[in-house]
Amino acid sequence: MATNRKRIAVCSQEKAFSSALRIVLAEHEVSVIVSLDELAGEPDALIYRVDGSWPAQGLAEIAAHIPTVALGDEEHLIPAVDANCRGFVLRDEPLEKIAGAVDTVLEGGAVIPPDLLGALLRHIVIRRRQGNVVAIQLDELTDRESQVFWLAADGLRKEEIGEKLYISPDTARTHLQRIYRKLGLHSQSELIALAARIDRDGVRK
Amino acid sequence: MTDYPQRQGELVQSPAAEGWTVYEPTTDSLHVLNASAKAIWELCDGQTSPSEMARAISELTAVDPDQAASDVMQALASLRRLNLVSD
Repeated sequence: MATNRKRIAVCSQEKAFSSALRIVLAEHEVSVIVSLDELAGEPDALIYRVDGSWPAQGLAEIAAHIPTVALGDEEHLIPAVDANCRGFVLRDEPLEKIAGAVDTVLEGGAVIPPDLLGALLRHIVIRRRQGNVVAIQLDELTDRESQVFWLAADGLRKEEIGEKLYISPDTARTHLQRIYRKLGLHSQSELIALAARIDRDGVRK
Repeated sequence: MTDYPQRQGELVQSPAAEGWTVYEPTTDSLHVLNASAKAIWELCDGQTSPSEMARAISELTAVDPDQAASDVMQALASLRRLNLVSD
């Protein structure tokens, strides 16, 4: 008989909650963890309950390739969506609703509390506008600066950028300084965060 | 048709089973909106274009952009008929 049994990871510091959710998700193989560091292998979906610091370190990278449902309070919604979570359920909703949200994200859908949909769409509209402004700023980069920008966005250091582009590390550094000035950046980590946002908004090219 | 629709009326009730109730004063009428209609109505701030709304919906829900644009235009037409969005 064909089975739809999936591997679901539940990340929560509340043991009783995880145990209850395991019962509700009995048709799936559920593993329980208390922090994202413990995530082993690659589950089919992740349920992340906001119990501690938020947004959680590393969640965005994980949720980018593992369908993730975040559970939290209203103020956690926008950071959750910005962290690539495909579903968001208010923490006081019934467990069955969480199970339903997992099924939806496994099928490629999104789950948002209906009452918060307008506010979330407003946030996305504003984020996209900001992304468009950055895209216009990127147009001000020279071709070489643009090459350096995207290599730096991939995390390469000035020595590695120089090697890739057959220029000296000092020249790479000069390009980076010009890029920072033109885009109002102060560090490579800011550049990487900016590039990630542009990627996500599809205005990289 | 305006490029930047402006909502009319006020949300007067928390969500009920049927949706959200909006009061429209010029016609002294109540209207019940479902979640999608309410979200689009909330986006009608006079500064957001229908295409911006459609792109945001498409990004959030992974709906095809053309489909999202069509859905937005349809919802706006309904809201205009109810006098909940001004031209």
